Amino acid sequence: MDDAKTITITINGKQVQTTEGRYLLEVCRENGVDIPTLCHHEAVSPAGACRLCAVEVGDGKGRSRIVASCIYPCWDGMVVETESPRAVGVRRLVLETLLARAPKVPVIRDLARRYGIRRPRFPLENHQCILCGLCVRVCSEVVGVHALSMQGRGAEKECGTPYLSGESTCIGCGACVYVCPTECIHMEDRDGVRTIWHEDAGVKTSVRQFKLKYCKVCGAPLGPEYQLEYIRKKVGLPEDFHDLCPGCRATGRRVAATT
Amino acid sequence: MTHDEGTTRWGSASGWPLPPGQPLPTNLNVYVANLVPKEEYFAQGHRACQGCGLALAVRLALKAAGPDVIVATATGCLEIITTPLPYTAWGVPWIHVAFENTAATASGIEAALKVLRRKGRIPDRKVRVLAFAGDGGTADIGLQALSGALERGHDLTYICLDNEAYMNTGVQRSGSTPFGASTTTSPAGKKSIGQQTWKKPMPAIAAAHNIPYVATANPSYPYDFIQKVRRALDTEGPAYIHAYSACPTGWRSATDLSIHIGRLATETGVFPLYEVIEGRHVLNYDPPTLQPLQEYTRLQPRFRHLTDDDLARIEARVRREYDALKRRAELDAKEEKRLKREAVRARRAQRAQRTASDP
Repeated sequence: MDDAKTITITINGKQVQTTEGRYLLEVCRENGVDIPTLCHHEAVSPAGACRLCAVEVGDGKGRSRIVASCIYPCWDGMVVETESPRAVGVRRLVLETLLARAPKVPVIRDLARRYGIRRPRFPLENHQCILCGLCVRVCSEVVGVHALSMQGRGAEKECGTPYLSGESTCIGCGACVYVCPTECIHMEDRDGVRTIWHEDAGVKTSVRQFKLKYCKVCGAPLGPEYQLEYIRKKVGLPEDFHDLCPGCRATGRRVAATT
Repeated sequence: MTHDEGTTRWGSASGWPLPPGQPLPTNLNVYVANLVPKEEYFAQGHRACQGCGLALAVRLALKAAGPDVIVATATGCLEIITTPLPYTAWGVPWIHVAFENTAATASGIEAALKVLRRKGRIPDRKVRVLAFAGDGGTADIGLQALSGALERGHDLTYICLDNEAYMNTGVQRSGSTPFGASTTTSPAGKKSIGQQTWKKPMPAIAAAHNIPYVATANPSYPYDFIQKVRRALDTEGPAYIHAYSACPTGWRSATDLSIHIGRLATETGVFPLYEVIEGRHVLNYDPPTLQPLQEYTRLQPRFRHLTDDDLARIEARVRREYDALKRRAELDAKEEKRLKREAVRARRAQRAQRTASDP
């Protein structure tokens, strides 16, 4: 059934058994080795975008190299050093560039403090978005609506909905807001309207508003109309399914059963 | 290297979904369910009754805490159901202590970790301390230990799992039993209405210790629950969470209604969801209209002897307390805004003075 080969690798001098082809970061975390990441999430495929998970990998005989552990598959006999001076140096450099790009983001500041970085040697910018693409992957892999994407190249690269205007396929579920490591995607429910936007360097883009739907009986908020409609179509529910909240639906069923 | 921020946990260090003090976003629960940690630290196969709200609360709390945590638990249902010799349901380091000293043990663990870290005996990374106790172990028996720990300011998170009586030993009333509930030591009958005193306001007692974070949480609202536990763990200093936990065995309610009863508890105003952050009250979920109390009580036979008059009396008090809480939250929000405005004004005045005196 399981044809993956069991292999032995060495992490920081400790021998660990795992299966061939698993990603190194998962194996390290399973064994209590802490590696910082920003763009990794277990629910979506790894991308190797933030490069913070850099570790040193070799065969134990001499040459070794730096890899991003979240997208590096394990092989038999590999020797991994997560806290070697070389690996930590690379991580520090990555952090320095991240800190220069987004000096006000609490997560990055915390990590920088942990690695002893006071002031990056690069000119400071004022971004919040670090272009890790986690929101893009969540939108396509978990939610499945592909409303977000990366656009532009190099220094012009940006994250958001197409043309950075409100995207019509977005259903307003807020999954991107939930995963964003630097909290640059915002969501607000006010007066029956949900607003979602991406804010980077003080510029609001991809702003989109959704009308919220409420339970017809108790008036409890249910969610944006678009999202409920999307779910209803996907699952094949009756048209009036989202008129009631789950509680009122259960009460109705019980009333119907007892009378 | 200083204390790390628990990077094995996904998401941001400040504990998304929202910055503290904002109302709960509606309906986050469709896709976000795929994004909560998949790792289970509370194993299935434990001995909890069908429909137990406590097991759900602990599972969510441990998911929020991640692997770097040490748990201390008082005697009670939680200890009985998770550790029948020779098995254990705990996937994290766990210690069981006597009924009264959960908070004292947790503060000891926290102090020991601090010292061991300072002496270099253990790696210098942040390991959090979590204490679980029932309502009896918090409101009655463990109150002085808890008060001491909160007052000393240890960096720990204390979660009270409130099922409103001593369920483990056979449904005896506790300080946390609500007025009118029938238990084995406060039985309802001709001369008794059941429990004759009102529920002890534990979150208010904890908040009165001036600790940085107090919250009420309800496993029927799982994302709010996870978020609050994470926020409590990220808080420097003591944090207290009062968790609602439905108990079909003790409340004589149907086992498939625990989540529904939990929701109703919040929707009727019996168990409002709120936070007290640095003394500032925030109401997390304010239903457009409070449901009638009868919706909540009629599903629980422990209240079935109550007459309409009794219910009206209880409902009046519930509404009054809810309104007082809401008013308090509004006042605190106003005060916060005023302070912010004043700070901005003061900064501006300072700058103006500096430019005036500096030619």
